[in-house]
Amino acid sequence: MVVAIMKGYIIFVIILMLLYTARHFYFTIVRLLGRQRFYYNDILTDRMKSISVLIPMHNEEQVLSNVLDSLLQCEYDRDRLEIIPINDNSIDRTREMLDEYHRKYEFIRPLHRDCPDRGKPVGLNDAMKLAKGEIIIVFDADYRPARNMLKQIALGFEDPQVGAVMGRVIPYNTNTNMLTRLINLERSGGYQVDQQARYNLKTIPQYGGTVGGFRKDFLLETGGFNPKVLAEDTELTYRLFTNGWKVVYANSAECYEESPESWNVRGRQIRRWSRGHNEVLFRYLIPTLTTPYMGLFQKIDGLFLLFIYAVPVFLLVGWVVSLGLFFLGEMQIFSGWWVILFLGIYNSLGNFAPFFEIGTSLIIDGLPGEALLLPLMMFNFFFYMWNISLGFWDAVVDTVTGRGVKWDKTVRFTVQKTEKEAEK
Amino acid sequence: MKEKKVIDYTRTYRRIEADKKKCVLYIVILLLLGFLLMWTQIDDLTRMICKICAGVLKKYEPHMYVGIRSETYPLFGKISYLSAETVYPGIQISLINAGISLGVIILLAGLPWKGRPLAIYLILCSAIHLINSLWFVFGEKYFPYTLTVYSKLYMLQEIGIWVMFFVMTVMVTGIIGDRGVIYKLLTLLAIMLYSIVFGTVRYAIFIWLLYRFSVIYMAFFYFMIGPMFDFLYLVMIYAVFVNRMIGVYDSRKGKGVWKWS
Repeated sequence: MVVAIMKGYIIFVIILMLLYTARHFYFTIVRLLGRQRFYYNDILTDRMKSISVLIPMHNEEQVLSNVLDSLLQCEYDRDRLEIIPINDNSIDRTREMLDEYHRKYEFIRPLHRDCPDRGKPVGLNDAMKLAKGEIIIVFDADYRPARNMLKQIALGFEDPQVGAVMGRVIPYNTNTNMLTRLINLERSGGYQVDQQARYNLKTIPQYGGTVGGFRKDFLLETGGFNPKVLAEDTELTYRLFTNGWKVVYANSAECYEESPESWNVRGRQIRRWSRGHNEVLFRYLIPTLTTPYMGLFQKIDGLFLLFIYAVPVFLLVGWVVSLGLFFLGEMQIFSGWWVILFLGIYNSLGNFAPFFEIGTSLIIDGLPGEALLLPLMMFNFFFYMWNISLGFWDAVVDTVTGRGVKWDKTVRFTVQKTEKEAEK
Repeated sequence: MKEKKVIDYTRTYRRIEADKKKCVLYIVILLLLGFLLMWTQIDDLTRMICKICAGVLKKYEPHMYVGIRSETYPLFGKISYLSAETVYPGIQISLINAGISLGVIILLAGLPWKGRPLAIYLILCSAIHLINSLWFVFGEKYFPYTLTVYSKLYMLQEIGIWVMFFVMTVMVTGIIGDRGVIYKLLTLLAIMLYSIVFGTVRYAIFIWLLYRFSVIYMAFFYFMIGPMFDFLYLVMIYAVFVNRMIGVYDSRKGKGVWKWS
């Protein structure tokens, strides 16, 4: 009986992996060979929507001038733009630096929060109450938007059915080390192919929490961001879709981010994403299945996306079960299938694009040389499986015990590097 | 200001316009040919691999018994594999292995770079080897595999790898437009050749190691340095192919391929 259950589980994992592989393969074909779906990015309007750019910050003296200076160079009517940096309990020079910006530019209006409930969702909720714009655009403090970025995002909202618009994230510190190079590959496949294919297919392009915007009224009417959810971006995506709104993926709205430069920082980031995403899985599994606003394909893709951070856990358990079957002398019939399991593992791990999706994105982006790093992605496999599984466990404990979440900021690297360069 | 002679379109929404019939034909013909080859040649191929491995093993380990057995399977027909004497580790070797594995785990878990991919990989390797070693400490006689059974599993696994790699390579090269067919075929050939050669070399080495140092390393070989490393060269060769195709599509050969719609 136990052996039958173990074998059944292995078959389940193999089928799951094959389904994810088929999904990514289809995305790759749709993106590379199919017609691309545009949003309203080419229309001209003499009256752009009023926007409020919110930038959550906690001890960001190292990077805040990068994002603010980049935003100041963005093309957008100044009378329809306001920038609200959210100084969330910083103890460094963030407050002074923001006040200095405010003195120079009236439309930069910092919100200083000195209260015990720190975190991105509560900070955004407070800032939204002050914001005058009908569209909220969010950036993390280490991002550098391109000049036309705000326009590109705001134009998406000319479609009245659109509740959120997501732009493309491109790392700017790609050449720092092996980790940043590998993250660049993941980002390339994830946005250029995966997100655009999902938008082409009218399934579930995902709002990513930064480099994107949403309608302020919708969010305020539905209670703002939930401070107990770490992945407020994924939560918003599903909240929008289950309420009949659409999300646009704006591939032309490019923004540059600082990738983590150390494995420890990356590990914590992945664990946090996994924890938040899996909390959303537990909350939105039933609403996704039952909502009348999503079509069948949207629901299917919505489920694939919801489970994406649970898949490595299924794999890890599959690995352990395989080990059990090995010692029970039951591996014989699975010896050939074992390969398929690995195939799935390698292709579909986490939310990171499989190798053929990344290869395709590099062809589209025309980036020679980068492709040669593809084999090194393999060494991320155990790293991601481990950290995502820890995040999954965190989410289970959160859900069962009602434990609150604590916001953890990703470590920045920009200035440390500049100081080192100065020393040289 | 220097005048630009060519203004490239944005990469944002570009796509390849390919003759989809050609792409499908490429995939279907190669898959049919590949399966036909596998179906008719697998017997000869596995027998040849076994002969080569047996020859090498006998040369370097003259006292080792190495035989060639074959079994018939419904899908592939007759498949050959090596048979060899099983060497068990004994309690002393098992305890030493268990101790070393445990030591490696403790050492790596205590290091500041314990969260790095290599450390996590080595910890998992050690954990699997620890379980296997403890199995031999407490229940050597219950270990369910002989070296011959492992050898058969390895061969079946290799066939699984060849089939999957063939299908995967045909599919992932087939969808990248209808240009560069020669590069696609070369990629396919390189992956299959490498897979067969690498699989053969590894077969001989694994059998020798398991004979020389006992079957205590079986689970480690099977789970940690088995198919994982096959994917490495698959992706490596695919990466070279992609790099080449970037050159093709962004050169004169790729003229007219890109569309913006």
